Amino acid sequence: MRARPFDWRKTPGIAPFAAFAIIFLYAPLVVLVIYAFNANNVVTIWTSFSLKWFGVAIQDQAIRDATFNSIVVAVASTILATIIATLGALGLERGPNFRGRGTAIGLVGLPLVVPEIVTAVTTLVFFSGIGLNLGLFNLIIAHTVFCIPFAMLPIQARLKEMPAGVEEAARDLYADERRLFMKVTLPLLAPGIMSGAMLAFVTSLDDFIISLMLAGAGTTTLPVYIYSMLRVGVTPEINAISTLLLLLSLIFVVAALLLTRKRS
Amino acid sequence: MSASALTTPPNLPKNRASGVNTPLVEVHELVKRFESFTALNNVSLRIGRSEFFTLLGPSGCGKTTLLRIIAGFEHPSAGALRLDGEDLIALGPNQRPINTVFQSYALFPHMNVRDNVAFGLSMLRAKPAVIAERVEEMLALVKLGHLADRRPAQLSGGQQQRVALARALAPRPRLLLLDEPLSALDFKLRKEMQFELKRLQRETNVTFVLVTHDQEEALTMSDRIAVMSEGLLQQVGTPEEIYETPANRFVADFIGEANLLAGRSLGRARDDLVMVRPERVSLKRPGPGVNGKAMGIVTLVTYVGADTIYETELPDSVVVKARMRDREDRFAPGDQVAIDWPDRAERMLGAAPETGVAA
Repeated sequence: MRARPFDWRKTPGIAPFAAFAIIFLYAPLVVLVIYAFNANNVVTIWTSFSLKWFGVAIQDQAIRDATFNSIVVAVASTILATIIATLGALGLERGPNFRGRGTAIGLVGLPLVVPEIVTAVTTLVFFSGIGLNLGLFNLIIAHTVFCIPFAMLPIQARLKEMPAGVEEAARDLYADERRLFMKVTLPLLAPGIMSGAMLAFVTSLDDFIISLMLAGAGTTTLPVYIYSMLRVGVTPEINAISTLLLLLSLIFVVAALLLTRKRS
Repeated sequence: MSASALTTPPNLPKNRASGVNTPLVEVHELVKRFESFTALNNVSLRIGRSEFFTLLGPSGCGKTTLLRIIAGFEHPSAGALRLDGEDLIALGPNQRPINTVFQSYALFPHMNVRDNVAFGLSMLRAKPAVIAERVEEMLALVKLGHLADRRPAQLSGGQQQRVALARALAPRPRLLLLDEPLSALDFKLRKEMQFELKRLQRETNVTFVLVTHDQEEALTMSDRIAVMSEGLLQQVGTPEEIYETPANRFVADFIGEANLLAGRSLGRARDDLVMVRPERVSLKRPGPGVNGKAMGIVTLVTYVGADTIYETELPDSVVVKARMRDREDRFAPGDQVAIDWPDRAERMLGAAPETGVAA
């Protein structure tokens, strides 16, 4: 191996700095999880170990409803956004070049750069302007829209880095359009679609501002409900819900890692 | 002949009425224009059955465009393209009994070697037993039977190349196209694969059309070569014809080394451009009874193993190269020499340009 002229790991002070950064990022999470197992009614005063708040959280009907809403919205908008993103990416990357292709790509990515509060207010104004009042479907539509660019990024990247000529090779070897897609394009695109879907799911599940603006009675999502609980007072129940959410995201991240590792 | 007849497995017996006398491939006045430039300018070609045919030229000469039109990936602006007398233009790449070995190999990364080789036949809906047998046969042909379960990423460049060949030959195409197939391999492997390709072509009897910019590769492998430049066909002929009797200055210059001399440099009345290969040029010590085409002075001596290459300068500073094997009589820079070659080694290439001709 050639000696490297510069090794950032050897920079003086990098180790303590990194340690500080990691503690800064993860200490709150650790504290949150620990206090989820606190028996006391006041979250900051530790008395003894208990699973009681998990029980409370799971049996809380409002939390159950909010969780149900969140999952329905996340699953539905993930499926819709991923399908639209896949088709969009295929159209933009594989379709014929057209005038305004660059503009189209920019427009699709707009929700990534527009402040969420702007999207939230305009969506609210728009929905009430046209009198759209479909309950959860309002949320699903809004979430689908802002999840599309998140789902599309990895799919587009995957399409761009697809090895040169494999699609031509498939056509050369007698594959018609349908089998070219099913046997070659889609299998090669699958990891991108999977990560796109996961990004979309997490983005939707995590969304607060847009959901807060659009949620009406009976369509409250979990982040919005947790926020309303905070205003009443912090109990370890919130820690317990957050811990469960954390667990859910961890499962997703690990699944994504395992999936990509299996591919390569 | 309908499109569907062409897409039935190309391994049907060749019982066409067109017979042996018609060419397998007929390229007729093909033109391909891209937005601002013409990649192919009225190219006409005939490629025979079981021929090893090479499209040779520098990058940008249109050879790859021609190959892609034959494969069906590009649509010509004008002209006709026939295979066994059938018009191909309206058919997509998946409807032509033609397979391609791609420059990048383009193996399917998500399939193992066996499934890669089976792909064409399975798209043609051949019976599984037939596919399995053919795949084994192909893997044996390219000596890769032991790697059938590997993924392409687990293979070396040379092995991937063989898989690409097996995959393209498995559906028994009537024509195999090879797009610079050896350019990604290192020198030694490239030499091996040249012989390997030649062997495969003989054993399978399939017509090969190879695209390359490597003139040595073209000379050693081909039955016939088409030399292309700037979208135009410069010459079509056997390697010997191309090398010994180049049709024009471009071919003479591109294939092998050539001394290109104006008649006036040799003191001739006709100022034609004269081409002589360096290995046909001999140097002699001047003296009584020693004749030559010209007198010159040795300026550079390069020893290249089997031969020695001498650069000599004529009185008008034109350089003539001589490649000689004689070890008895060596020359040194500064020596006066008589430069000679047999008359039949000369090739006239029309009027010489006004300005000096660089060899």
